[in-house]
Amino acid sequence: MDKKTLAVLGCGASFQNEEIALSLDCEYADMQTTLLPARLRRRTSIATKMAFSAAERACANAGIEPCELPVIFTSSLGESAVTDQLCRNIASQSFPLSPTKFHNSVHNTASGYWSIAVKSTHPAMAMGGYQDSFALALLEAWSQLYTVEKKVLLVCYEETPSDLLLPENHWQACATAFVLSTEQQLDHDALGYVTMPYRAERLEPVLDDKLFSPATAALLLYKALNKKLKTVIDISPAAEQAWFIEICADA
Amino acid sequence: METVYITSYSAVTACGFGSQALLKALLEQRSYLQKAALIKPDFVMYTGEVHEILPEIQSEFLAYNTRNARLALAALDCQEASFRLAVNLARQTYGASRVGVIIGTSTSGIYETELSYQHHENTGSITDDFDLQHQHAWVATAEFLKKELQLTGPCYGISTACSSSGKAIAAGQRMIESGICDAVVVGGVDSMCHLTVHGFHSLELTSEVPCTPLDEQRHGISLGEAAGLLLLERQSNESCNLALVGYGESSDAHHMTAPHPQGAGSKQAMQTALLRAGLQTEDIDYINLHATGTRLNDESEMCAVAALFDRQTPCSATKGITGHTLGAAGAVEAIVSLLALEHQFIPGTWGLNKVDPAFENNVVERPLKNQSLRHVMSNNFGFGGNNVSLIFSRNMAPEEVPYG
Repeated sequence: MDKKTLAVLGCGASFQNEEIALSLDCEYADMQTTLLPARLRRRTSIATKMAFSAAERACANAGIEPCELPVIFTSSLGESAVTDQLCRNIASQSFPLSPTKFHNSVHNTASGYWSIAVKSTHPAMAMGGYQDSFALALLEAWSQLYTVEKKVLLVCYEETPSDLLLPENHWQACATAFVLSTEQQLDHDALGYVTMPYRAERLEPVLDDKLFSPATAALLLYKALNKKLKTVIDISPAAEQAWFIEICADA
Repeated sequence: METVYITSYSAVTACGFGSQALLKALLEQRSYLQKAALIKPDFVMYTGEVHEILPEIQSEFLAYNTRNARLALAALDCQEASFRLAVNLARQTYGASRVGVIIGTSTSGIYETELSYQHHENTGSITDDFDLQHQHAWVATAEFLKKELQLTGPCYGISTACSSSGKAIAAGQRMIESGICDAVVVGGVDSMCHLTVHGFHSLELTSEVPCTPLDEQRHGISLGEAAGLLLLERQSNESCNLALVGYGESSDAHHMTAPHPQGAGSKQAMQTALLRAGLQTEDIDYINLHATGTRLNDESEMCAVAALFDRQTPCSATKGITGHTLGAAGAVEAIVSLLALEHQFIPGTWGLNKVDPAFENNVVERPLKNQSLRHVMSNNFGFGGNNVSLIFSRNMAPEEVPYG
């Protein structure tokens, strides 16, 4: 395991509703965001709204202007509700498709609107690794921070997929965001320091993947940081192979 | 930036199986765009479809059975499986856990999701073999390749629309430079699907004739499908003289589907790539443009190129030959750039009648052979104003170095 660490400068979360926050044992944070203009709010998905809200809170928590940060948005399915609607339109031959729905179905919808809304010309990554989406985004953040970037905003989000896409799923719609850095901040204490994600043996998933999405995996780190725990966390509990991360006392 | 080496590459495009088929199409300057056949819309559209019979997925990995995965499998096994053999060698050299897989895609296995929804529309139930995780999720094709190649390193999908696989190549470099991997299979795979055929049409971005990027009378894009794979390695070997020496990424911060009018974001990506490569604009011997054939995209990119480069720097667009392969475009055009370096030619721009007079740079119309190329740039830009620019270099033997 690499002994180098990343500082977590800020974090934030967002839930589709209060029930979800309660069931995940978290303090409720709604989908409000000041950064998404009203005209876009009406036509963006729950996924994008939650991602914006968590990201805005993480930046405020870190005391950093959103436009200063390269971003990594990660989600196993992304805009699954828009995709579901478009696939239904295609199945029923309801053409032409809505052009707005089409461009809002791309995986980088949330990260694209984010860079436009906060006027950031920094790189924007949109990626996915199914149940490993959070773990691999942390690894992507690590690779960026130890090569070309000083700080990044990582946003992990997932809405509830339709029953046609993923039958009998109970994924809880939520988003979590973290501002990560390799640099010590002089005027702002880090919430904690995390190691590079690493693989370790585990016989089988510890959580049912029909119940648990990667965004809920990211919440485990969010909750541990808020409780100031120094601990090892399984950040892909519903994946076949485990990824762990350790929260350390300091850099 | 740490240089990484490209020890093998493979492409499956409308031109055929293998990078040699693509090379032949480029040298002959032949377009493979035909009237759409796989998806038959009720409007006229030309597409670059792969007509060869795709290989079957072996029974162990049947859960991954999509057109995307079969395109990727064809790229592994065409041309005497040279790409698969190169990855096997890397796995033996570095260990399976030190070799990652990062694949760009804009629609993953959505084609199969569409078929499943169609089945549901007709019968009330989805198809028995529909598997969201292994077919539709963004990582599905990357995971399929990881299993086929018996790798255990980090594996993820990147989906930033048409810049996806350019960004996958950049991400692979970072995995190596940051010490996480010693080799990474990078690239992009996208198959034809109803979503993109009807979606781009609804945005009024598709052409009713085969696309003619950079032409005064261009009318939009022609979609294509492809798999493009590259093996990036920390170490070079005797038979390899190709390297990724720079990349730049940026966001336009402008509009979801329209590029910045002056190409501010693409200019920033190109500048960053040059800076990381330690090169000046005059060092670039050829630019493979993103040039999709829409009025705004080509204008924006050429504005950025004109702002940075000398008027004489040769540039061209190759989407008239392959179609716009969306999430695979970055990988396919990286391979076009590598073929240009390896075979010392500059691809032409198929379909040009008259270069748009607004474009001041040197647009290459017909392939130019017997060139002396050392550094080549490849650009890709996507929805969300997502930009990437890559620079590839060829190590030249002493007798090849001009004026040297």
